[in-house]
Amino acid sequence: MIKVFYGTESGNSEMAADDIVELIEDAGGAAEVIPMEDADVSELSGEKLIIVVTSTYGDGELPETTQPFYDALKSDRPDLSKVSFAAFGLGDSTYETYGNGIDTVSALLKELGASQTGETGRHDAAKTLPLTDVVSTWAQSTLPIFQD
Amino acid sequence: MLFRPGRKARFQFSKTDLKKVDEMNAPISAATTTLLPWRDAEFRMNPFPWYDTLRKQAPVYKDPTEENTYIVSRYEDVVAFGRHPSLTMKAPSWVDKGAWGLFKDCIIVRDPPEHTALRRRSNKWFTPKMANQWAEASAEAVGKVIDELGPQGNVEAYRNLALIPAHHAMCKALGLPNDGYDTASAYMMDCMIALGSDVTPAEADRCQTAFDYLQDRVTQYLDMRRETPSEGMVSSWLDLVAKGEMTPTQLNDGVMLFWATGTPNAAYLITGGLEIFARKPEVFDLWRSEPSQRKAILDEVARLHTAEMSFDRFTTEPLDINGQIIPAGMHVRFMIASANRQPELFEDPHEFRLDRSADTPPHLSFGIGPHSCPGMVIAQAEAHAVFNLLTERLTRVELAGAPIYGHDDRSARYRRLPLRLVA
Repeated sequence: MIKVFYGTESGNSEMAADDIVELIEDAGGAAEVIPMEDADVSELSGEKLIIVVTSTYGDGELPETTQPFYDALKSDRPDLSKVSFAAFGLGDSTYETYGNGIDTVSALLKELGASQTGETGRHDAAKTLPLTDVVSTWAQSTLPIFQD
Repeated sequence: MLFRPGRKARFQFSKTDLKKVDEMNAPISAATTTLLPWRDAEFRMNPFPWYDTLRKQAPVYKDPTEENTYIVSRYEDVVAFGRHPSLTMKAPSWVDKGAWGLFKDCIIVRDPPEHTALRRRSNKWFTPKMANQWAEASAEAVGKVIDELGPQGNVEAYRNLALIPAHHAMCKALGLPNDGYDTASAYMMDCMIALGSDVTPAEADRCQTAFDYLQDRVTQYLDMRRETPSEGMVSSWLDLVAKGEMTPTQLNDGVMLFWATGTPNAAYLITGGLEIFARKPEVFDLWRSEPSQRKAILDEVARLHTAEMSFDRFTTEPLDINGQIIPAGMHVRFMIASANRQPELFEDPHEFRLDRSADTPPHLSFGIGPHSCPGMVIAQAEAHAVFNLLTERLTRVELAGAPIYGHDDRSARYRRLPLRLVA
């Protein structure tokens, strides 16, 4: 079961996380959506692959529900050396801090030993591409289930 | 948005006055006369030629008709400075808020971090996922209209395919009865007119009357939900008040904001799309056949149909826009309708086009920064629900008469959009 953690300010990351789970399930895999504020970071060490999805809030800060996830990782510091993660960020390129949220979370996961699979996906709200389409393209080029 | 600055007398400039205006503008722009005839009927119907002149001659313009007011009209300046952290929603003491002063503690009068906490409280009810659920009520309302069409398929689309369906979605989110919005929306128009420039005393009085009515309705709905709670934001917020996690003022202001003010702008957006569908049947067909194009279609509809043509902020310190200094304590109007049609960024700016280059910047119709429209997500969901249903059940929509618009100098609106729905 691949856990897809999302952190959000206005709900767009939840939509992206839902899309990712649906894509994985359509490909025959198993996945579940978990809001970051509900995540138990002590259990992350036992995961093989996790997916993190978050937007950026304000001028580069973490969204409301990403912050407690980040804070818990920072304080508990679980050993993630056996964990791979894939990352997808939502942002607005008219801000200089575009994508800061996912980069901040990814950096901490790496600091705790996790290794990233593939490139960080990004949806830019300033462009007209639908979120669903961008998520789909990223997932199919990044997630191992689509590479088998 | 919001706040009616103190007005100056109606402008009939003598040559001496114009010289004074010119001198007043000298440090900030090269304008030699008023560039924005706010009450002029032609201006209100089609302000874009005036905006073109404004951007060229005085991109940062000290409005001679409004006290302490500056106008910023270029896209790049609106984006760069419209969300500047030194700007505030809190009006200085010289501002006459008029009836809009009833809002004491909500997202339209607070700055971060208080604003952030308030915004998060409502965001929970308007995520894209939840908005899609609420918008099912819009589709149901439109479906009923189609079911009950006469033999000619004639419908007044603004009220019946946009305003009331959108209100049904909002009421589903709030957990309130969805009737009675014809009256409320008519009063809401009076409220919006009072946000313009050069508001007359009669218009200010009508705004007060309108808010008296709207407040009375909100009070009644809050009493209703105290007696009989239901699923939805209002009952949830009443629980927060009971627990001491929200103040009664925040509750009242927030419900007023979403119930009363939330829908007319969404209805303008939806109706704008319907008019484009009628004038360009290929876009109607494209909506049906190419779901991946729907975001681009709605974005272009929104760019052309900017419901609130400007948003307002106040300076707390001198604001330097390309060397032009707006002093502290001033009112600034950021002209998003002007920015949305800036030809250097949007080729053929008045045309609906889906072939714009990939680096075309986003429209600003929902505002920018932390104070961007809190109803954006549900408005888009309502538009999708209405357009999806229409394209599923109809082959086309046609104009059944000339649209009637009712724009003032700040808000754009339809009064009628006669359509013929063809199954």
